[in-house]
Amino acid sequence: MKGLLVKDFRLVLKRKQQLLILLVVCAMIAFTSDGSFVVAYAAGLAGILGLSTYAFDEHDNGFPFLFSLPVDAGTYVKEKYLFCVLCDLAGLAAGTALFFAACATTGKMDAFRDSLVYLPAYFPATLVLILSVLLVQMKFGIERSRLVTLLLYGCLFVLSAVFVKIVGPLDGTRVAGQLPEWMKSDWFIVAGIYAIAAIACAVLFALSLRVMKNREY
Amino acid sequence: MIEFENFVKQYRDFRLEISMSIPDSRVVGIIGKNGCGKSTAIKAILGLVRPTSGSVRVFGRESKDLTPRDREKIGVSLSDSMFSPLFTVEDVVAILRAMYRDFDEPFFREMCGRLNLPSGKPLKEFSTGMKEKVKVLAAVTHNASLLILDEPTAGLDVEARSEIIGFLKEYAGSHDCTVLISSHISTDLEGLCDEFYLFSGGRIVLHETDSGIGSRYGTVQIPFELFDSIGRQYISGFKKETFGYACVTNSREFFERNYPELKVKPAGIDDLILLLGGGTEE
Repeated sequence: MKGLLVKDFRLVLKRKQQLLILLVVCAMIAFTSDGSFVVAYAAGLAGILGLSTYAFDEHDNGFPFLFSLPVDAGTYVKEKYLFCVLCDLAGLAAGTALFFAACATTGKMDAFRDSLVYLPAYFPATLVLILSVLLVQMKFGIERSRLVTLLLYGCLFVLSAVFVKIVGPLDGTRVAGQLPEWMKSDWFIVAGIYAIAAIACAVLFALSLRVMKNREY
Repeated sequence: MIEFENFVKQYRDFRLEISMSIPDSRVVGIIGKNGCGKSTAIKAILGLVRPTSGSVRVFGRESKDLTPRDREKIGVSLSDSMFSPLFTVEDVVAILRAMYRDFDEPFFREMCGRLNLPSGKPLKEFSTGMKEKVKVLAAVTHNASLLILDEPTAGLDVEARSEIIGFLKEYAGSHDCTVLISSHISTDLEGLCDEFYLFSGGRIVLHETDSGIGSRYGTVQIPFELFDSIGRQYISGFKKETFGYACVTNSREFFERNYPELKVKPAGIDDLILLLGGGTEE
């Protein structure tokens, strides 16, 4: 596991220029837009950066060599998940720092304080998205995964549109109004997001493990 | 150390069907033309492909069940797969240090110096020979008890091949380990291997020791009119030529004694590949 982490950190650090550009883009977003969007954006981008190490592993028929090292499918999947978590957390921290800096310099600290409770929720939300793409990549390979991901998101979009057409748009305020008082706390909502994400991650992990264990090279 | 038992791997257009046993502390060469199943056999040992039927055991364990700890005892160099081309030798050192408890970093660095491998240059800028040297070094610098080298000299010039083979001979001579090396370049393996397996069309057509090949095998040119009168048990493989048949025999002495008029020569590995691995088998 340690060797794989060293490999992935070094792979990410090979792209210092890209990292710098992403940081500058995030800083521009933080200072030119209102709200905490930059936090979600930075967490998502950092997660994608972590995810990209899978593409490097697969590139140039890299897997046969990788799995000739002291690595088995279980260790590989665990490490990849851990690495994506670390990248996502680093992005969340960087995004939060930029958001704080932007609020502090523009005198909008109230907005920062109001958002603070929701910021940790960006982590599980972006992580589930990243890990679901990782699963598709493991199953179909990098090339085909692009098409499969596009198709999956296309299907989700169509299903959502059909749902809205049949049920009508969801009124968040009305739904919230029907919830019991204790469920309306911000912390409860964030904890709920974490709980749902934890279940999703566990399912994704089990599926990823199965895919990698069954692969041949 | 390695045991293939009725191993079968069936692909859509290719079938590998072998049984072989590789004991401890032997240097074993797998030879044969491209596409004869050498790399598939190596991948099966590493658990990278699973058998359709039969089994392959390494260190007494099914290859698919090898643990990371077992794998630490195996040094591998594959023909078409290696570290990311973005990495430098320095990155490779850091990764190997973190991967293997017994990684011999001073030896790795010393060898990089001896083989003129720059430490700060990305592998993508290395020549084919330099990449092969990095792969072989990575395989031999963590005290492995089993070395698996798949075509370590493929595509290299004479000088690079000689450097790698020289290094492997030195290593095999000074370490108590089993070495399995595949190649379609026979001269690389002569003088290095204790025994050979010749693969052809997904099957083992010959298993012989180095001394056995030298003492018993020979090539003989037999004219058309004489060919049918010679017992087929003395001819292991043959190929039709313009003068008659180019044959390989495992009874060289028989021909030398009974047919002094025929041109009989000791067989080299290339002759075996050509006449057993591609000619007609008997």
